[in-house]
Amino acid sequence: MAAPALEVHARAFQRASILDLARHWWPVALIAVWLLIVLVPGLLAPQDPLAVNTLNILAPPSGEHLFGTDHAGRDLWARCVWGVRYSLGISILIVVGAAAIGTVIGGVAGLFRGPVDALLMRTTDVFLAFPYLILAIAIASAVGPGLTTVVVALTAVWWPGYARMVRGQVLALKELPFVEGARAAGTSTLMILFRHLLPHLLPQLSARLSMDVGYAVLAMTGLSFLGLGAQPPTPELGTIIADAHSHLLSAWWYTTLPGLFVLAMVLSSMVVSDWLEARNKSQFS
Amino acid sequence: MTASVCEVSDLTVAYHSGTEWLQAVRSVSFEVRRGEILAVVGETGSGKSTTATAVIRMLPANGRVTSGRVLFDGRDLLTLSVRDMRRLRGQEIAYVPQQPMSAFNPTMTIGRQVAEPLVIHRGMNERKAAPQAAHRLKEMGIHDVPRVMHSYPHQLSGGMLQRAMIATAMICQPRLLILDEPTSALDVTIQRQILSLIKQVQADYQLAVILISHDLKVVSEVADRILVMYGGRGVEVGSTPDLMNASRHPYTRGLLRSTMRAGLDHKSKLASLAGYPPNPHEVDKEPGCPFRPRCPRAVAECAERFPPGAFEDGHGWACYNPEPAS
Amino acid sequence: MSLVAQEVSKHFVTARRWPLPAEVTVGVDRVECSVEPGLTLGVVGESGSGKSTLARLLLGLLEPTSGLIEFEGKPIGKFGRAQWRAFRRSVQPIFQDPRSALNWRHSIQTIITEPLGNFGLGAEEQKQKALALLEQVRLPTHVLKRQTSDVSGGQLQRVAIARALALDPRYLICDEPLSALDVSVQAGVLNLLLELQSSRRLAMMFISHDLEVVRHVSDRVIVMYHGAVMEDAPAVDLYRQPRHPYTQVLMGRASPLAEDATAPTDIVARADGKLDSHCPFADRCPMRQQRCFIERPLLRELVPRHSAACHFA
Repeated sequence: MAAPALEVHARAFQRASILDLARHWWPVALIAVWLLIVLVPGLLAPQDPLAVNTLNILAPPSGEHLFGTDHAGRDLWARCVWGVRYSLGISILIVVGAAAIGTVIGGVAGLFRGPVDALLMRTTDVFLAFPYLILAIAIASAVGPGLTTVVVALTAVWWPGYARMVRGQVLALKELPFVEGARAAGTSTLMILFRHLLPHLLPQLSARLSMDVGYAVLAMTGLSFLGLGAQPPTPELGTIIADAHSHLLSAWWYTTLPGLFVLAMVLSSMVVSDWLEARNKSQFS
Repeated sequence: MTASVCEVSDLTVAYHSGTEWLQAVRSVSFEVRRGEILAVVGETGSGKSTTATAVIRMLPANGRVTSGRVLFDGRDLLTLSVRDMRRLRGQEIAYVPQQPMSAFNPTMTIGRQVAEPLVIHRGMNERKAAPQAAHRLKEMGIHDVPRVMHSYPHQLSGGMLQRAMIATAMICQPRLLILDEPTSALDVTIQRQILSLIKQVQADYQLAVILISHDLKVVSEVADRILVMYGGRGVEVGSTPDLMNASRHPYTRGLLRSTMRAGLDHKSKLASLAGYPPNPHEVDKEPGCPFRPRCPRAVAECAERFPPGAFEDGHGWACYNPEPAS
Repeated sequence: MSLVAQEVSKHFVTARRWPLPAEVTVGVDRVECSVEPGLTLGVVGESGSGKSTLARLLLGLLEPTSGLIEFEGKPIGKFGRAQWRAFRRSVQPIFQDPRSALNWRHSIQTIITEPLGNFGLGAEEQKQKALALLEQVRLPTHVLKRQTSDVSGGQLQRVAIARALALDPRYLICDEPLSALDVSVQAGVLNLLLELQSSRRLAMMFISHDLEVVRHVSDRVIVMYHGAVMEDAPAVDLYRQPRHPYTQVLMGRASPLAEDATAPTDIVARADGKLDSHCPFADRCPMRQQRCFIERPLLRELVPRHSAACHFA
């Protein structure tokens, strides 16, 4: 009996978030750096990513252009940093949007059960069965390619995963005694979802969210690479790589740098997700 | 007086929690003799389960024995090699954990799990071990042995599983049996049956038994001697009649006074202990008696040092101002 | 002015086997009971006997499969929004383990004030009321800012009581309120409940497996087995002279023939929800006769206000 008692009190220790931050500074720093790039790219890349200089095309890395220039003589570093703003920023928007839609739909389905549940979940299944590439091509052929196409296509295929996860969680959490306690105290069903269930869902949601940002970056750059997403001269990483791939042999830096940026974003999202998961485990097991 | 099977002296166990070591058990000593049931009684955080798991060296990864000795047959269990200890466990010393439901593997039949110690320790094959398992189950008062042997844990009631658990523990004929809260998950009628089963098995095999429980009243029905723990300390030890009728420690007295008994006026106010059990994070910083904040008989010395044990005919208590002998 | 269960049954569907009829277990089987102001109805029984299901039915957390729950003369099945709100205010639960019955991600202040917020009290009033409630359950006011993991189980159960009292209810449904607590704090919590009952004339339902505790607090007691009431009597009579063999077994005055070997959830009813036509206790009953396996005994009054469901009681 002694050991569980210690664990219960140990939870109080782990909530001391300042201590926590000191011990886990690096994932937090990682998030901060990426957010900084997304919010104020100009800070790291003072050059204009759209400024064409036909006299200096495909220049190799040098003191003036740290990572060289592209086929229109634009500074590649500036284009990649701004590219992160588009690729990562919009990926975050897509995933957060999908998570919000999924949480509401999954939460409502799990809480109300019955025909509401059946209707919502069958709808979810239909979306789940749709390959995002085909959806994007379909939307692009209807309204033309562009960032909006990517956002709509990816959000539409991403939320069902969250809806399924949240519904499962809600079904399990709903049986917990404190939910019955809240009902007996006169708390309405929607308030139960927001006040009682969401805080318990957040740890898992956040871990999945941060992992999905990585996948969304891949999907988004992939769509742009195929020409369905951002159009040149928008500095989006997929678009840059698409522009670069015909210069693969003559200008190695042109594909390498945006590729490395994509790799770094995906790796970071996995690392942060792992960290969140480990943290949840130590806190709630 | 019969020889002691297991002698624990000055046992101190600490857990590492985040940033510091916390002592969950502090200088606890006791012995169990052949053919006797010793009950270790205490509430949440008293260290009773930790004491048991320390004796069989099954502390969780963040736990350490920081001092003390556990003599079993004259050998110190704490200094044995891991291999020797593993051989002893299950053969000479058997342990029945809390919650029979989760102690069984849900994917194996009960028959195989009861026979498993024979396969592991005696190198028998399963077919040879099965009749012995059946025999043990029958001995534990199970009538429908073939069906129980072929059942999976979720198909059986808690009482039935507890019987099977004890059969598993007894299959290699150990000399020391440690039971952690064997009845607390069970219903009243079943509780009584399991307790009498324990008593009967203990008498048949002249076992030494350590029975861990939170309920003084329940264990008093079967225990020969009782050790009362509070806040990681042993506070009183003695024969069951001594403890139930003539306890000297204010905690034991308070517990007994606050339990329900016949002859109370309907809906009348019960005598109750003030306050709450100590927080395990603070109790080991207490230099004095852990019960002091709740004790009606506390004196100045109680805050300074934990009281030394006083003994009278095998009845011991650790208190500066004990209750008068009645 | 009472909370009454009339012939209430609750069946749970355990497996749908379409097109075959669904598999059903019986949680509560035609139970009659009444919780009245100033009095305590004790409910005893083993795990799986349907005690907690009965509590959740009376709390309006489950809908009965058949039968009626009446709150002060009106069936709660037909309640509209306003009536439900009035019902929630008046009938409050206290559950077994406060560590799981209270949301451990909320502070103690949030826990106590949640019901007040649901009924439209302002923030400052909520806080004042919370402080007053803490005093009533004898907890220091600084507890308000704590998290649930910072306080002991006994203190947390007092928090649960404070939360239940927040809306000034007239009915308290207590489901094993002591069994998750340390022995040394149980008496204190029990004293508090008794005191609150007498000062507020609360109607109480007190579910417990501990017969001695039930005897101490109850005015009337029902004994449940496999979802059905086996015996129903004033506490004094029941403990002086238990009539049903199961009650006698529970009190240790008789021994059962056999232990229930199967897991307690295995009470499978026929698909139409009707139970088999034999006494549910017949398998273990020390007094069983041929008749017990053929005909199910109904609850009948043996002496005034004391009934038992046994052919031979």
